[in-house]
Amino acid sequence: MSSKKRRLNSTSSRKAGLQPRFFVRVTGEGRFWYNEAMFETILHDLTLWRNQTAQREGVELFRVLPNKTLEELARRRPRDKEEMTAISGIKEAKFRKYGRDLLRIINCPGAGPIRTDRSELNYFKEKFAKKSAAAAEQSEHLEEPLFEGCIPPEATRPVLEVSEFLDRVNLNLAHLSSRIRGEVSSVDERAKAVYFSLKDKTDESVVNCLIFRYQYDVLGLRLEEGMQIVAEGCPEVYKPYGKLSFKADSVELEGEGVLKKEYDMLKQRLEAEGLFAETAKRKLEALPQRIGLITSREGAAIGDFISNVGRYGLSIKFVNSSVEGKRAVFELLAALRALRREKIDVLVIIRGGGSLESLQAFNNEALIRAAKACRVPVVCGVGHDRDISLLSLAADYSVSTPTAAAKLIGSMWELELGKLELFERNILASYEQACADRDWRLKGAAVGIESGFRGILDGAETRFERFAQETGGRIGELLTASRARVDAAQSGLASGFARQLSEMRNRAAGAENSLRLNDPRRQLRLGYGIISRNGASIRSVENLTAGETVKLRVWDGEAGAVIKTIKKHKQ
Amino acid sequence: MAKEVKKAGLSESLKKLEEISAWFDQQEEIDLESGLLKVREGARLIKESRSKLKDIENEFEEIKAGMEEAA
Repeated sequence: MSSKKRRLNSTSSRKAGLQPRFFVRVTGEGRFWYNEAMFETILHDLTLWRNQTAQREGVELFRVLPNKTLEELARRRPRDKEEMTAISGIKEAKFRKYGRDLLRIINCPGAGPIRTDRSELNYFKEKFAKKSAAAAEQSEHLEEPLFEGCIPPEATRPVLEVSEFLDRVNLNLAHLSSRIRGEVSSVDERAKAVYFSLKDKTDESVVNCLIFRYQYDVLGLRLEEGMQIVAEGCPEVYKPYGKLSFKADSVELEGEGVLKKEYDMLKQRLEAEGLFAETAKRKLEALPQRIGLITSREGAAIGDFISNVGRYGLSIKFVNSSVEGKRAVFELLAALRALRREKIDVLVIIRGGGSLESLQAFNNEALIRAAKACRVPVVCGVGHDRDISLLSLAADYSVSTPTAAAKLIGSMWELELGKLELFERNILASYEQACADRDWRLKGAAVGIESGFRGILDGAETRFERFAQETGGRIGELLTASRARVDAAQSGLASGFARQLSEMRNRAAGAENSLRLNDPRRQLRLGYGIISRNGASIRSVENLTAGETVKLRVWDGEAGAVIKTIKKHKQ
Repeated sequence: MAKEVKKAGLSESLKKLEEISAWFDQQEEIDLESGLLKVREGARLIKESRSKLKDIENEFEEIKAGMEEAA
């Protein structure tokens, strides 16, 4: 990187509020401490370095160094190998590869993370000299050297042990990151790494190479003798044997013809496995509302998709990923993993068209298998020239452009929304039919009742008329006879009643005469009297006692009388 | 009730409408009282769905890939 570019980076750091304010005095202790800005500056530089290194090596960020390790480095600021390898995440190999860069960043904060050539080193040395001079002005207050661990402008040459020497060699070799073209002359696949040798086709020079399994397995190709490839990585001496190897981070087949052959072979293999079979394709069971979208933020594909998908209140969860180049497979796989944590109904992977070479990532076996393992249906909208991408063949839905992918989702919604009218018609028509049925049945019932009743009436009338006709003569006779009987009875009753009345009159007259003759008052008028005692008439002298007083009633009054003598007459 | 309706998306409305439509198809003899309730519900959902379509927007959210998941 040029010094001009570095200055730009430094400026951007200041703009981001990361301008270094490295030391503050703590009153009373007479000592300088790194403040929070120091930590932030180092962490910022380490992060930038890590991201650029990962990009250069074509690996995921954490493969270089995870965030926790970066933070620990910024916090503890190791000064040598021993202190650095004590930090979790940095072992011998990591130190060999990155130790030099890390020490430089940690001890010269704010200098920026990138350094790839000699001019960078010279720049660094100049910067060191300036900082040293500035620090010297304040050195009377410092208890520790400011830039301990930085490479001095003029290094002495101490005697080194073999291991130290090889560490130093490897530190330098780590910066010889290269792309090497050659023919694979041998392959040895082991559990953790694949060892292979590359031969120069002109002078038959050979370099021994290796690639770790986790990188090899996502390459999407299997190394075979005779293959023309381009390997990318950096050299390293394996200390136990003192042997130089080229540690490859990625391997690409060279030439479209070779790519086509590899494409055809993989296609044939996956087809035989049934990965492209229609029966293996999943259907969207419900309307897709939550959409996982993977594509590049930079390309036209994302704009095409969003402007064509239609407005249906969709929730689009987008994950940015390269869609071309050696990092594409890693990023696409990382994007798939990220969306695995999200609740989505469908996964959409899109990019614009391109040649077989530029679409290599979408012919990657690891990516195809990861997409197949996705728990929701996958829509692949990857454009192509002649050969459709293998991911498209394996996807549950495949279309040729990002726009078509958007319209596919939209069409599902259109189809469902078209049912709105259908639902409306069906619901209303069903209910109207139900109402009409009831109405018809009510009317039918009313007609039935009316006709039934009419039938009853008609029948009764008919029967009555017939009955009258059949029995009319006899009734007249019966009536006459009855009338005669009634008249006779009435006549008999009247004469009997008159007779009884006459008898009663006679009896009443006799009784009246008898009453009149027997009336006691008539006897009293004739001079008779009635003797009584205490209201009871005394009819015999035997009921009288001489000397007693009795009541004597005569015609016109009463009187008390005393019995003087009693004499009973003979009967 | 109004809140629930507002929350329900188009997808839910369509699903409910489909259920109501299927209910009518499944009845051997439609109970007029129940049917009327279904008709009212259906009419409301249809009206709301059409209204929603006029001003509905998609939500767009960028998710970080989380490269360091395994670290």
